[in-house]
Amino acid sequence: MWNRIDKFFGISQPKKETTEHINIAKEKIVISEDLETNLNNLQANLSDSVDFNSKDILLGGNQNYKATVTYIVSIVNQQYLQQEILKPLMLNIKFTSPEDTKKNIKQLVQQLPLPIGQTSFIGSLNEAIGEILEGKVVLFINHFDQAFVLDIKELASRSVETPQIESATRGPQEAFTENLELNISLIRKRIRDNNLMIEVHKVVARTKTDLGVCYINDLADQEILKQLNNRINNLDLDGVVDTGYLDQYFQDNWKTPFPIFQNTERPDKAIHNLLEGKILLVLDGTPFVSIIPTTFIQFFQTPEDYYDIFYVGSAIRILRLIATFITVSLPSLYISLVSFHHELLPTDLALTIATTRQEVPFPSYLEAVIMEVSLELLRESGIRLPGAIGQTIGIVGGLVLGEAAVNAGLVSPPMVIVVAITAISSFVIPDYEAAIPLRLLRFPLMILASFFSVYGIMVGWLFILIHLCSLESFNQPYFAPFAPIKVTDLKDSIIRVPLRLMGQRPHSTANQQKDRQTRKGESKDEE
Amino acid sequence: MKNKKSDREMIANRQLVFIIIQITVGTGILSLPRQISLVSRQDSWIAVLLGGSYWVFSLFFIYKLGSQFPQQTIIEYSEIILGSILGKILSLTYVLYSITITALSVRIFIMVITTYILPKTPVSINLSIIIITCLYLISKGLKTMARLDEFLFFVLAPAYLVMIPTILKSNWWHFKPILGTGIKEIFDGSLITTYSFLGPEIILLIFPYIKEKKNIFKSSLISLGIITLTYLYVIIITIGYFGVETLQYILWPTINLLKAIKIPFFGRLEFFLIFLWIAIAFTSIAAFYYMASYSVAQFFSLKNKLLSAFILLPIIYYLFFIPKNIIEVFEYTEIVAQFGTILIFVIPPLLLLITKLRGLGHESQANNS
Amino acid sequence: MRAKLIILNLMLLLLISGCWDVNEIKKTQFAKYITVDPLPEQPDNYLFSIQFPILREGSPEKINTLATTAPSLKSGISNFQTRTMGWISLGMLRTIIFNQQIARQGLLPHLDTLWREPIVPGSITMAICTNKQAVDIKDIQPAPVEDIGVYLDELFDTTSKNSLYPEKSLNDFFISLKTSGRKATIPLLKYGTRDIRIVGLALFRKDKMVGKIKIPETRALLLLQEKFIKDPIDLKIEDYHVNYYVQQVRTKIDVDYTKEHFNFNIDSKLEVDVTENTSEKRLIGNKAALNKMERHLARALKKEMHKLLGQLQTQQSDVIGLGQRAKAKYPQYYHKNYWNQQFSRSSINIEVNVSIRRFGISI
Repeated sequence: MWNRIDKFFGISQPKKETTEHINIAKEKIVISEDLETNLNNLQANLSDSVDFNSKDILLGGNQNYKATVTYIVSIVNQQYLQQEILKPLMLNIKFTSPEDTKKNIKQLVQQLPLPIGQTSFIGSLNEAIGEILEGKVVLFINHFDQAFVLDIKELASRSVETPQIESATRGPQEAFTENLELNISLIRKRIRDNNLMIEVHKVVARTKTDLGVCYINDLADQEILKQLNNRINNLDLDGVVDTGYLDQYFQDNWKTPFPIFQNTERPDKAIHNLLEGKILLVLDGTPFVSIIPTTFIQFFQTPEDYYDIFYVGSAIRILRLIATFITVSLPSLYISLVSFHHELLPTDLALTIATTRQEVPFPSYLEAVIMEVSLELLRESGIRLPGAIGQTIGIVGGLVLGEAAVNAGLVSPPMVIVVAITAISSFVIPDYEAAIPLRLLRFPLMILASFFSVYGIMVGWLFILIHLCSLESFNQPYFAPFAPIKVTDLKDSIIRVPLRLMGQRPHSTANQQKDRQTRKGESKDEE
Repeated sequence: MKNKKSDREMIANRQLVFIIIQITVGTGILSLPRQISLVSRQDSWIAVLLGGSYWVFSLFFIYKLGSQFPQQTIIEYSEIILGSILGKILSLTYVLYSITITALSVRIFIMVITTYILPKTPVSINLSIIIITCLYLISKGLKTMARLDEFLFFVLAPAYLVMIPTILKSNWWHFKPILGTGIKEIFDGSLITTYSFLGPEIILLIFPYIKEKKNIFKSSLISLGIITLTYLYVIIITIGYFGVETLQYILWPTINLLKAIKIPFFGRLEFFLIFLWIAIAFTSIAAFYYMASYSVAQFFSLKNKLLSAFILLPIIYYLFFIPKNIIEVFEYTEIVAQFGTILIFVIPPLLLLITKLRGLGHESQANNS
Repeated sequence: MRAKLIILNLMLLLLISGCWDVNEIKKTQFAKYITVDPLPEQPDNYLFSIQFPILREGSPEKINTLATTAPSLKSGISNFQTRTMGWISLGMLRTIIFNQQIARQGLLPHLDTLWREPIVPGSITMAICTNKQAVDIKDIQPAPVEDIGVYLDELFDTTSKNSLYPEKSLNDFFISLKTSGRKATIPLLKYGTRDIRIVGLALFRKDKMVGKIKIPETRALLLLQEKFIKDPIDLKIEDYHVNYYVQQVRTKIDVDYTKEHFNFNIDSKLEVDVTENTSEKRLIGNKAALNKMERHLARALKKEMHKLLGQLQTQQSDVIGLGQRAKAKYPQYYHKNYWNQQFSRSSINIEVNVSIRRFGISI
């Protein structure tokens, strides 16, 4: 682990930069037997921060056993430190032979009845600094060339709440939080499998954020894992605040508008993907967990699809795909029908539209662009405002403005309907991240349609399809199971077949075991 | 170039099936019923079956030739077989052939677009739009093309399904008397189908990229079967609806067919067909363009296929404007079809024969891979 | 990267130069019908009239009718174009009505532009006006709507179904015209003051009208073509009326060639319901009465069919498509150019069988 971090330091920092932090990290400093030297070194690196604290104590009250407890105040449980660490250290250590420190001190400290799960000895000062910054307490003892690490960190975090973004009508209502360990516990408590692997990497030079890589050892594809490790090691960033940073750096094709990884705040969704042989990236400090590798169709699936009966799940999925199509191409279709090919409209409808458009001063493509832009404005303003005001914006924008625009003869009522349907459809797409590019794609399509009518729309769609087909997520085809076609996977794409027919994991992305359940489980099902 | 291609670049045999289907079914499908029924009359459906069956032999020879040189394309091994000068000439003919057929397909495509969708838009702009889309696909490479073809095959199936309502209005007397036209006419008609069947020769170029080389013949036969069935379907429906005599007065019978159907609410199915046909034709044009640019890249040993596609651009633009009108376009397609017949039906068996006589090639490698 | 930028700039340049095909719906006038009339004093010119709805709200009139003289349909439309605001679009054209005289002279010159234009739908209904000038349609004031285009559309679509031969569209005419062994038909109209009536069918040889048949014969034609189903037939038997509802028709036409002319054996089987019977007789348990009703209908239909075929043979217009059958079975005896004469000489036997399936719930 330490080597890896070292490697990061080596890679991540620019050559010209020569701050002390990096110097320390570069030249590995061994903990010396002299307590003062150690403290000086530490102070050189950490003294600037206000919340760094070092307290000199005497072990067992003995003058010969000087020691210093170092920690960062803000991320350590202070009460625990005082009662369960300082008190035993200062009072409870019994020295049998006062002179023979070097031999016995390690044993003594180890034998000390401290109610702490994670303790260890480390030999290098660099490591010590790392541990302190992580929220651990490091004990330096005079005449002893190792430091004792006690993990009593307490980071500010919120408790487990219901999902905010991906709310669901059915299924577990827990959501991930910003705390890595809590998140891992949410995963761990759902999978009691000894093959569930959780690796924690410290990524990035400056923030040293914990990145948990979570997978099931005998399901996840080793090739993808290897690649992922490679990319994690090559990560060159100042700081990682959200998994979004990682997504953008792990992509094969960074020019794509589509999200290459799915982020979720729902543990049940994460588990579902783990069981399909995928890998989770759990980043400390963000409630969103990345799923690797992702296919495009995943953005149109929600956990409820699996909880409801398959008719409902399938119907809703088909509805979502229709909504996607509408979101991307309804305004452009409207333009091409109203400005180019009126004869495609049924006669009565064409006459109705023509009647409503008599007074409208704009050509239809301009009208459509204006309306769609104002829709995006409305949506964006609604998001940033606090709840109650956000709703007001919706009412003002949607009802009052639309009504007024129609009455003033600036836009035609059919256009308002088209825009409204487009807006509603775009909200049907369950994944917010995936909905944004799809929503934006309708603008180029509208421009194409205003020049080339249906020909432009088709060419636009071909561009989108070519792009989707060319995308890969960790060398796994992004647009699977449609292209390349995986017939067995189609049962969980546009529709969802009954769970008992989904005996196999998806073939679209590589994984080790094809069969989902054992035979025994299946026969049990039959009864 | 003898080293094996890495597994990541390979395309599956299933994808080969769809590539062949999409490259072949394209611009020809709109006018085929008229052209074939001019000669074979009510027995055109037999002629198209016959026309498809010729390809079994040519596909067999293409496959055999390819498996002699499993890691090379025809541009590369023609020099090995025929020596550098003759080989270069042969490669050049293939290059020329693929460029010409690209230009002609684009020409037919643009004619339909300008007729039905954009009569006032300048032709060169319509042309540029489709060419840019082709360039984008070429820049993404064979793998993306394979995936796109695979996906579009299923998406575009409705284009054929919308023709079904005409079956109800078909007059089956149009097909009688069966075999009444004479064997010679049926045979002649089967030769007319050639233009519509051009495309499977892409195997000669992408052979090294196909995963299971042993099954290439099988895959290409499957696609040939699907192509023939598609044409058969279109021909039966159009003749059943229009009759042979009426067909001769209609430029694109497959589109006009839908002009007749009046379904409630949505009256104009022919535009729906054209809308989907844009994609059908695009996959064909893009694949031919890919073929042309890939063979040019190999011929001049260019690394970048996109670069060679750009080099070809002015040539395609030039060839595009050569035919004066639609009659000349159809004349040119016939010439290209004859040219293609030689390249596809005569050259591969000849090359194979020379390979065997000179003891070149390595059959064993093909079996191992 | 630079290459891409150049392409992008070129594309933008192309786009900036204009939207060529934009044709705003509000600036478009949708022609609903066209009429064609001869001009007695100018044999080279024709009188065309066109109608389209006025969509602007608050305008005093709902429809706009224009008439012009021009040598051809397309030039007529060009004339209209100079007189209207907005583009005239033929994309919504529903009906084209010809004067009888025009039909007798030949329709081909007037239909050419309609076939050539991709925008014109193939399902336009063609009709011939018998009693007045076709242009007089503008004077008719149908009760339910102001727009005669809508009225015509509805008329052909829903009402008077059993008097209307289904193959009445431009496309059908085109196919019948170009296919040998088949002749075209067009419905005949009669203008009233407040309505339009369908009175029969015009028979064609090539593109020229050669005769007409009345509604009963049209019905017989429909029965022969198996196109008359799910419709009522009214019949007077002795002193009472019976209304039959046809559920199914099966017509078999056999061809054979003897003594240098064709013989057609037509065998028609009908399945009907009785929907009205004004006699006092009880039908339940009365097999004889049912048989009688079956017999009468069969006889009446047979008579109608004979009359139809007689007319067809005298006019030498094979609208049933018997020629196609003859050609299919005896291609060696079928002559494309002499089929009209061959048809008029051939003998035709008709057999009609009627079976009553249901006759209601009481009486």
